[in-house]
Amino acid sequence: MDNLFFVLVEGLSAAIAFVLVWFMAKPYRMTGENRFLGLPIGFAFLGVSYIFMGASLSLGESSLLDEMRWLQLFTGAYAFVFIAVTYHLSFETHERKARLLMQAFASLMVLVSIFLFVVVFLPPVLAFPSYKAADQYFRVFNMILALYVTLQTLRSHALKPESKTVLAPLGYALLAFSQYSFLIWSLDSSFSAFIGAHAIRIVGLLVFLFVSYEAIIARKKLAREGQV
Amino acid sequence: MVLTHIQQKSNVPFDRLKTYISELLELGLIQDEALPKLTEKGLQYITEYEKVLDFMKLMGLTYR
Repeated sequence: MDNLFFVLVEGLSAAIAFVLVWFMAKPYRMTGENRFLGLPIGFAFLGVSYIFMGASLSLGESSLLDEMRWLQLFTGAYAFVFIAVTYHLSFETHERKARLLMQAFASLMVLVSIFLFVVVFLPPVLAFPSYKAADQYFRVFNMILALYVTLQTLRSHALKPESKTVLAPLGYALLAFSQYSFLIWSLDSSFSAFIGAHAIRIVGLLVFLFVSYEAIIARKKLAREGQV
Repeated sequence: MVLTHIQQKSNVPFDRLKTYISELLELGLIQDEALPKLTEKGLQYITEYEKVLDFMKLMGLTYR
């Protein structure tokens, strides 16, 4: 019963993340600059990681459980890496340099994917730390990246402070705090940390949904009413 | 708006401006090459563009 609830929560998180992918793709579609591609890709990986998490919670003792858990770790980390790289390159003033860096980064991620696949899914090529240890390392890694993105968005907010530009840093800070809560759960099996992590994550995603709605949908309505 | 006024405001060389004007005409975003004016489609494009710029600003993305 508990598991079913959390599987549904993971499903809800994934649904919100995939809706956000549509909004996050708009900067790339409008500007054509590949440095903004990391945002929809990152949120897509986030959604996929939630699906793998939900799958691992629903599988019980299935033989696929390990694969689901490892895939959840990797896709979650990829999500934060792509989002962090997008914000890092967003401050790059030379478009050509940003484009080349993004291409180099994408190539590197493909190589990393192949390496991880070999290491984790084709034993005994290389031994890998236990899933629990890896989970903790990945949570710390994700948290650091989410905090980096929070700082970058705060930097943008500081350049032109407005009440609504503080929402993006809040959203990313909540995602970082969610990772911290998952880390606490991994370290001492605290059920309240597990629940808190899910709740904080949902709130963070809803913040982004609100921002997207305000910028895209609400503005469209105002334009139709002749107020813009 | 006369082309020379557009050139002054956009700070683009005249020959490149003529190329851009031709492209915009082909895409149906403006009408009349001599005195360019936005079409309905052009107005919609600018509205969409401003929406996306607004979104990027709210998401903390910098676009120059």
